Amino acid sequence: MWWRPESSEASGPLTGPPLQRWVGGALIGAGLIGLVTGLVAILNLHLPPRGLLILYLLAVVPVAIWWGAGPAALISAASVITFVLLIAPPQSEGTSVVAFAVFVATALVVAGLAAGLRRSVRRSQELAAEQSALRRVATLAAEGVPATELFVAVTREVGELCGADLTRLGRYEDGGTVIRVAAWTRMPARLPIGGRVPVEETRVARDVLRAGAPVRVSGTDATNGAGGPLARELGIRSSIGCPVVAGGRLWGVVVVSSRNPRAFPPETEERILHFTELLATAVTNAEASAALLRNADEQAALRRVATLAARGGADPGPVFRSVADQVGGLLGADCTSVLRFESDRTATYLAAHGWRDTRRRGPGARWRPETPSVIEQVQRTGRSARLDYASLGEQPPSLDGEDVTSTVASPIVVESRLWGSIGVASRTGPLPPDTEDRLVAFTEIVATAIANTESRAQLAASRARVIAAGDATRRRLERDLHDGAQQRLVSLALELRNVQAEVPDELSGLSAGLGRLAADVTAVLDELRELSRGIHPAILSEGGLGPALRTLARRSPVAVELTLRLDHRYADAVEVAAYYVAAEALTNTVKHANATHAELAVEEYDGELRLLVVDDGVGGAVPTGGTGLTGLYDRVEALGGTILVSSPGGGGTRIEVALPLRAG
Amino acid sequence: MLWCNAGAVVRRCVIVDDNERFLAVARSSLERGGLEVVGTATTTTQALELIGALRPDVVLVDIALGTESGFDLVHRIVAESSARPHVVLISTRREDDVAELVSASPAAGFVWKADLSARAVRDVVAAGEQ
Ligand SMILES: Nc1ncnc2c1ncn2[C@@H]1O[C@H](COP(=O)(O)OP(=O)(O)OP(=O)(O)O)[C@@H](O)[C@H]1O
Ligand SMILES: [Mg+2]
Repeated sequence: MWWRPESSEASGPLTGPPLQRWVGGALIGAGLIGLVTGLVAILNLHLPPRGLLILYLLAVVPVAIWWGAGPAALISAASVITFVLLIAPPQSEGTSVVAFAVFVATALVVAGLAAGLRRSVRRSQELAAEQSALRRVATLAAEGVPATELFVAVTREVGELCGADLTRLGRYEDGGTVIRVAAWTRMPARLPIGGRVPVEETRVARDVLRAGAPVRVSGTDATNGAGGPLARELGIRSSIGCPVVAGGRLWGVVVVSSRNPRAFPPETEERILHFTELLATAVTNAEASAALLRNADEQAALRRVATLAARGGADPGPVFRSVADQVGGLLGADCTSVLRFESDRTATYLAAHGWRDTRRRGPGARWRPETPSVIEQVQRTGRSARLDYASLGEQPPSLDGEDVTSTVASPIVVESRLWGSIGVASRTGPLPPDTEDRLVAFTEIVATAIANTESRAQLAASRARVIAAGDATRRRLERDLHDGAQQRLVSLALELRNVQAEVPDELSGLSAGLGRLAADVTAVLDELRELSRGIHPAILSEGGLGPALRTLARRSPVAVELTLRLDHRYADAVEVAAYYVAAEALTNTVKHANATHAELAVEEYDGELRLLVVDDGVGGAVPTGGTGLTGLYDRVEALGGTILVSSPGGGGTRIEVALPLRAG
Repeated sequence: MLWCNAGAVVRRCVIVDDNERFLAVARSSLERGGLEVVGTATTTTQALELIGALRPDVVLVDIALGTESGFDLVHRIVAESSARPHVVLISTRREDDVAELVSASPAAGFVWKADLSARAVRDVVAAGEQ
């Protein structure tokens, strides 16, 4: 583009150095005078010479147009002198002077007109170029191209429009840094982007941030911009920085630079501002929709994890795994770990995602976090920590071979005690500054899941305690009955018989009365026995599960096929639970099933006591029908066991129970 | 009174029970039926000493001896005593409730305390010998 004012090879006759202008004008003018003089000499043969002087305007006007009024005045003088000397000596001095004055006046007017014309042509071309550049950028923004693409387009358009040698776009960050998001140069140079420098170490970006307005820097100062070394390497001598204000805050800065110290005309700032406005709109839109999108993703992931946590059974493992899987993608991290802190200052991996060395990070793997590492910092301070690595050499051994460049970890705090940590790591530059904040949402869910699990475990434990206390009371009651009332009644019955035996034969009425008394006492004893059996089966505490279940089976009105594979005693709670399951199931079989046959099998297997009660009755057992089955669920679950009741209508009833032997 | 070895006539008897009142009632009941109660004990240790010293024909053992178990005592009598008396388990509980345990023990049999008599004891011993 010919009007581009900045570089030397593009300089025209009017804008070049003055000497060049004068010499050029003089040489061309001299040539033109030669040509005109030749023409005049030929015409002079036929026409009177006086009228021919005017022809020298043919030499003066072009020079006035292209080289300006000064050289044109020189050529005017040269033309008059040439004419006077070669063609026709003047009759008087006056004629030459008048001719000279006319020539100079014409030159001035023509030069002025030419310059004005040139200016307005240039202006309109500049405007057209600016408009089409703006339109291109606006079209891109409207098409919703990725922000990075838009940034590159803006730096290129601004650079070309302003005739810059180098253009950069930087975004201000919260931590007082500026990150280069796009760059353009007309020179062959590698343009690193993604570089992050503290604002204070920059020149242009810092001044723009301080002033909140365009800033112009020239001379050696200009090389100390955000592109410091690059600017030096390219020999930058002048720069302009313009703020990008998006959504009411200073979002970033556009810096245009040139090797020419006077490259940028005064209206350059204004011209750049048109672009930064466009950029700001696009950025605001892009950020809003990105935030929206991110928010939606994050919300969805959080919801998934929270649902898992809420639904979670005794084991929060699935929550840990799901968090590990989701966090990385959402926070733009490559690797994630969920860790529990142990009292001996080690940490245990609960879940991990994206790491190369998976063996070191298997669930349950323990290690002592190295100093310095983010996990160690969280462990020590209870607060979020970040370590960015410029070189692999500074990394703790646990990151060997992972090529990690940045790590962030946040604490998992369960009921105000430091429980563990979620850590993320990136292999591509620093993690975004808001990583710590966004991790918190996840650490909170994990903490809730853990708290839930713990309170669930406490609930189960307290339920087990309640049941155990109930059992103990019943056992004591049974014992008290046995040692007290039963014992006395037994002695009484025996004594009555003794007395009866002593009664003389003639008092047969007394004897019969005593006999009835003894029989009554025995009947009361029988009732008492039924009662105390219901309270607690004595045989269970005295003989254990085997004899107790055999007694149960023997007494059952429905034939019971019994299979017992037990060889020792178990914890009271387990024995009682197993006994109650069998007793309630067999009672139900008798009461509801209309069965002809039942099976009772109990065995110890794989650390569990397994119990199976099957009948061939009518089926259709439902826990809502009474308190019996519900009570079984309570007992079994309180011990951390499982119970499965399947009772299809007409298909008999099958109850399977497994009781853990260690936990009980 | 005749001294007899086990298996012939059952005459001399020791009762092991932790309830004094029952001991008294049982003694009169048994003695009326012709069984001489040569001694009573309330604990395992006492019982074993007594059995060693008195060499009874039959020992009646209460299943529930306070904190001790009558079944354990039966085992020890059989294992440790040179006297080799017959052992009959007694209890306030009914036979139905303890049958599993009684049949698993080396005792000759079981008599419910309310039914205790010399005859019942002799019947159990006789049944146990067959
Ligand atoms: N083995 C079975 N065969 C057929 N129906 C059964 C069986 N067990 C239970 N049911 C049905 O399921 C219902 C619930 O049983 P559950 O033991 O909870 O209560 P219940 O036996 O009726 O009363 P409770 O046990 O509290 O005395 C019963 O009312 C009965 O209708
Ligand atoms: Mg029931």
